[in-house]
Amino acid sequence: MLSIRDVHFSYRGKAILTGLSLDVQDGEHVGLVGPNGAGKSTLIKIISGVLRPASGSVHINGADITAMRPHERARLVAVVPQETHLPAGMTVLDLVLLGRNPHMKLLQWEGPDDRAVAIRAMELTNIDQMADRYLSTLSGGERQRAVVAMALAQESPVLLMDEPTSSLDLAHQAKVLDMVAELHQKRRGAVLIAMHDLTLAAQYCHRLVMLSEGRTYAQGQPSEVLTVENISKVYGASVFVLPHPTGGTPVVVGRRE
Amino acid sequence: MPVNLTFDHEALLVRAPLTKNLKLFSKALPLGRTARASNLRGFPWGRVAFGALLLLVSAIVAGGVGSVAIPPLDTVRIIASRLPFVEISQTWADTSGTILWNLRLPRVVLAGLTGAALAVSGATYQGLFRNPLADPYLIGVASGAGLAATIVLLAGVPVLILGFSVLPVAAFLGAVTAVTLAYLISRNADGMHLTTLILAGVAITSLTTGITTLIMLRSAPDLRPVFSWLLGGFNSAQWTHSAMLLPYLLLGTGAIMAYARIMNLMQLSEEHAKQMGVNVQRAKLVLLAAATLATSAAVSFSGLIGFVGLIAPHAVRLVWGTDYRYLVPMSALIGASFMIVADLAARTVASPAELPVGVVTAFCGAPFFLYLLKARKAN
Repeated sequence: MLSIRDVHFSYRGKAILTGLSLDVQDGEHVGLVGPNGAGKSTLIKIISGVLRPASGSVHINGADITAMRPHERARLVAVVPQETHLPAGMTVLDLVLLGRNPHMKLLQWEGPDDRAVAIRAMELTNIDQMADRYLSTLSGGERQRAVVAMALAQESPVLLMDEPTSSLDLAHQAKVLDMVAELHQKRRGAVLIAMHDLTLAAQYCHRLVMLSEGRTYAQGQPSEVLTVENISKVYGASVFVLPHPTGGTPVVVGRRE
Repeated sequence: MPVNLTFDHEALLVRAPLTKNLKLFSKALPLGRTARASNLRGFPWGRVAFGALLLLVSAIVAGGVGSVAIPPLDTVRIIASRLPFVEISQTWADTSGTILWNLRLPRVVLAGLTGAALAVSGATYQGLFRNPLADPYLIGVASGAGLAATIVLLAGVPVLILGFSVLPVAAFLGAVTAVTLAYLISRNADGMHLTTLILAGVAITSLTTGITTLIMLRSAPDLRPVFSWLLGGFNSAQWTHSAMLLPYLLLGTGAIMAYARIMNLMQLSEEHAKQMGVNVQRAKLVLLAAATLATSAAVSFSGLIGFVGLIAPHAVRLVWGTDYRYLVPMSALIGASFMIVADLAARTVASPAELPVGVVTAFCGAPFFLYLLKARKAN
């Protein structure tokens, strides 16, 4: 579904992506891991059209997204960005309806169909009871779910998330990731999610892609990717990798020198 | 993913204590709930009708008040008699008709159009720069127009060339030039950078204001024409002024309305808006150009009238919420009504002398704005 071929990108003379290739199939939930500066956020910005690759291609269902107009691309790719600024005086429903933008013309107003999609998105993210509340009255986790609902309202086959849990506490991290996994069951499509926390990534993703210096270093089942050798090489950190008490996915723990 | 609320934004004003009072007010009038789930209702014809009614009443009252009082009904009849296909038997004195049609109405209409242009531009600048303190003069319109007008008024440039008044043309070009300069400085390979645009605008404002002051210091002793222009006013209003301003206002407001939903999206962040399918660079350019042209056209006929562009959009936000698709048309109607009433006050309060309307808007506007700031702080 999402096919990235030999993408190069540099910023101010510094090479950030150096021939990155990656495929995500329909129905896959893929985790993007790697140290700071490995190119995770840059890759997400390239797929979502914020940045243009210097060379290489990004295709969704065979269509080249770098050649598309912004609103055409936004019908295929939705993003939950790492940082968002939400106007405090906007209601949850108004925010989620903004997700309908790629489907609307300049002077068009949201119709019953758009409303139905927005309400469905709020039900999926379990914030439909808060539709009329101001964003300023929501908790961090609720705001996060509103942003996810807005991305879902775009009705795109590909959903990208950039560190969706980095600012949440333990319980909310699990809640948001459970919700994403559940959503994914319901709506299929491809999910690509950049994560710092390797243990959480292993728990929630079917497949992990480990980036190093702008290209894929390893990919496959979490247990194949998150090995002591890979982590030591890519992150330069020495760790223990233990099996999770339930499910057996790898748990990565730092080793004190 | 830290989800930051933009607490510096206008949105906070919506929750300020004043809202409570205004909510009571809004229950009595067809205003709707404050910003709640506004998207479920479609275009707010009721509110627009309310704003239009307010505007009409302001215009009729302003047309009637003065040294020769004209009853409201006569005002309506005189206006109606001028419309095509309307036959009304004359029940009013000839002088009333002449005073209303030739003296007061040109002034009322120009004041209304100017107020609408400034309010729409103010709302747009506030949305574009995501800054509640932005006003239509933020990036050089006022100082550019001011410098050009000062040159014309003091440098002995002929007032009329081929029957056209030079002053408004010069002021318009000065305003557009200043903003264009700021825009060109803020452009790089990725497009226009808004923070740079503001800073460039501030620098250009300082420079042009400096030059204006220098010219004033070094020229004729009588600076009253310059001061009176800088403070703004409608005492030389003519129908042709309104006719020339109207296309800029209509085109500008039309373009801004077309991008109003996109302006809502741009409140998130430029990057997020881009990811949601907005051509951000084009949107910024359209909004900047539309607001700047409308302001420049308004300023060129009426001088630098302050506070309307800042306050009308905030007042609208307080009552009707922050959706730009409502904010823009309602700001136009409220700004127009406020300007008409302010001009009425300017010519009647100290009658037969006349106050500059900029003084009136400052007297009403500054305390109101200070109140808003205080209310925000208390919140």
